Amino acid sequence: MRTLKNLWHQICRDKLFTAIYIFGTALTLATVTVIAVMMWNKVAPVYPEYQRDNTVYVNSLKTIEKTDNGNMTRQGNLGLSTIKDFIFTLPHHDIATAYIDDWDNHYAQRPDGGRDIELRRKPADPAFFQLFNFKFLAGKPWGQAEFDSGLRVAVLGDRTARKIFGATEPEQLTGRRFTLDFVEYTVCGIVKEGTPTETVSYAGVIIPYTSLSGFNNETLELWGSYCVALRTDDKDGIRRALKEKQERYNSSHDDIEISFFDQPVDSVVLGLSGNTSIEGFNLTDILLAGTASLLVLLLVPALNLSGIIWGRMEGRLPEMGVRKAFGANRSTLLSMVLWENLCLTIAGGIIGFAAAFLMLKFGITDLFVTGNRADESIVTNEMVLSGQIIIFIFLVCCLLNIMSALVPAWRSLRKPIVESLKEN
Amino acid sequence: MLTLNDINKIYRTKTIETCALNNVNLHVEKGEFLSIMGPSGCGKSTLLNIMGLLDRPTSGTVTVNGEDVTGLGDRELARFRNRTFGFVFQSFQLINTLSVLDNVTLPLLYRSNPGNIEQLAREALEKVGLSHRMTHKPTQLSGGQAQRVAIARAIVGNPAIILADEPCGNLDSRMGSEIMELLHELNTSDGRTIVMVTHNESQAKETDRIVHFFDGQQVTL
Repeated sequence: MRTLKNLWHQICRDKLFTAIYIFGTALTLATVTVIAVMMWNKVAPVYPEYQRDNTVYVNSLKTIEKTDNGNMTRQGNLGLSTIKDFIFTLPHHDIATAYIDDWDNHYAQRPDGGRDIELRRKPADPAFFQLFNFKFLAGKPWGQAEFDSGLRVAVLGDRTARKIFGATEPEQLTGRRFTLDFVEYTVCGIVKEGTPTETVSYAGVIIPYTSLSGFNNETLELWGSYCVALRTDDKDGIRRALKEKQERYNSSHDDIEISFFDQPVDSVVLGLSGNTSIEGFNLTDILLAGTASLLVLLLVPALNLSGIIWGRMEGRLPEMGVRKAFGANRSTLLSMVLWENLCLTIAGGIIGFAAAFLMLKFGITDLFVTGNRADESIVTNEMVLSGQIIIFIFLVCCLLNIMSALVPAWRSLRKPIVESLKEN
Repeated sequence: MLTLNDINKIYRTKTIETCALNNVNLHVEKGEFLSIMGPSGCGKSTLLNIMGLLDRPTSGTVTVNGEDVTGLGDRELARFRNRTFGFVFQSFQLINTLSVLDNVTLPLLYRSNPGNIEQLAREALEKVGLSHRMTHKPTQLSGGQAQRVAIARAIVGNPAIILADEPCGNLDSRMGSEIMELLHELNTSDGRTIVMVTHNESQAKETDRIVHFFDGQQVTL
């Protein structure tokens, strides 16, 4: 309480310092918040990927062919036969869905003849709707029968549906037709659309991959364009089982060797590995790199803020001298200055957080979404206002406070009392 | 009560060595009102700072109630200062961002069991006749009033010794007299030990004992 009172007096005394300090902190914290939200949403259970904690992924396969001219290595997504032989037959899972990680540009033609809508397409199987908990605003997902028959049915995201059909109630859209890349599809359901940061589940339109011509026309036996996500309670067990299958395959083939690396990987590895190969992924390295980047990101503003605090502490030297004369020791005063500063940093943090929220709402996520940017980028409130993000930002505030205030405060408090008093 | 033994204070720079105090020995009795006089730069304030443990001597010892406090660390020194000394400075040294009441509470903030801080501060302000100015800021006070607040701050923690460095130096003669009256009252009615640095001979003559200084040495007139 007394610290807050002191702080209020300081604020009143030095409004310019306060304004500059809070603005500088807010700018830094806004940047950190945006990055933290984007990173967090890659690994946290958020709509519709609420089951991330129990989900593992197999995205790629490496083959080493032994030819007369040496070894030839190839790497790519999985073929349907590989999925059926190696993945779907694995133990320790209750849901497995195959989908195409489709990064090409696709276009929907609007019924009113207006300009084509660029969107992201997700060809998948029916289990996709079991693993990812989409909220249906109207209709229902296409099922096994439609999938087996290769029917051209589609589940649309609500934002995409509005772009294609205009401002129509979702209930009125089921059964309506539209063309996707000039192929006619029937809408069977409208879901609340996720965000492009969720690279596995996000799409404007979800269709059965069997509706695509040549969906099983794979040029090579093992490869294709498919990825698999599985729900499991035994990640290590499923990883071991795939390893055993891989070894069995390799021991029975002299001319080719396959590798699933350390797959299936969990959502943390998948989310943080980004565009790099899962092979050789090291979480410790990623965390160290992230921490180092954060420190570098904070260093420049911390140095600037440090200069401002240095100036203010020079102005407060007589006060510190008086406090010391009447019984305050250095550590008490250091703690007082750091608490006062932390309050200002948190004020900056709150403003920065609010600014980040607005930036994210207004589509700055485009900066972080690689590949096709067909859709407007929107984050949901649950993504930003999560307890973990708020705690992280608070910790960053503490870190920034220490980085910016500790040295100037300590150095000025080391000045002898007599010298400090003379400054008045 | 307070004894200085063979105190030397030398200020050193790369090229110059200045001796501020040269082999000073002084004893202050309990309940005594002692004044220290001398020309500017003779080391009076340095001596007072060393007495109040605001500065360390280059050599020699400071003993308070038989306890040698020269070698205490920062934490112990701070605690000792808080319990034993109350300071009154020439330029008041009030914190302008705090109210009068908050300024007076200052020494109590750094005590482990200070009691009712606000109540004690109010009582101290009543003693100096400024209870009606508690919510004001120091910048809203006259010089005499500011020095009264400084005295209230010095006595609020009930210290054994009050060290006053030219308490009337920034005040006109009328206000100076008021402050001196107050200090005498604290000395006679409360029995507080007071050591005062002053240039003013008439004020010094009102005290129990005068110690003269010249060029860092105690001199006898």
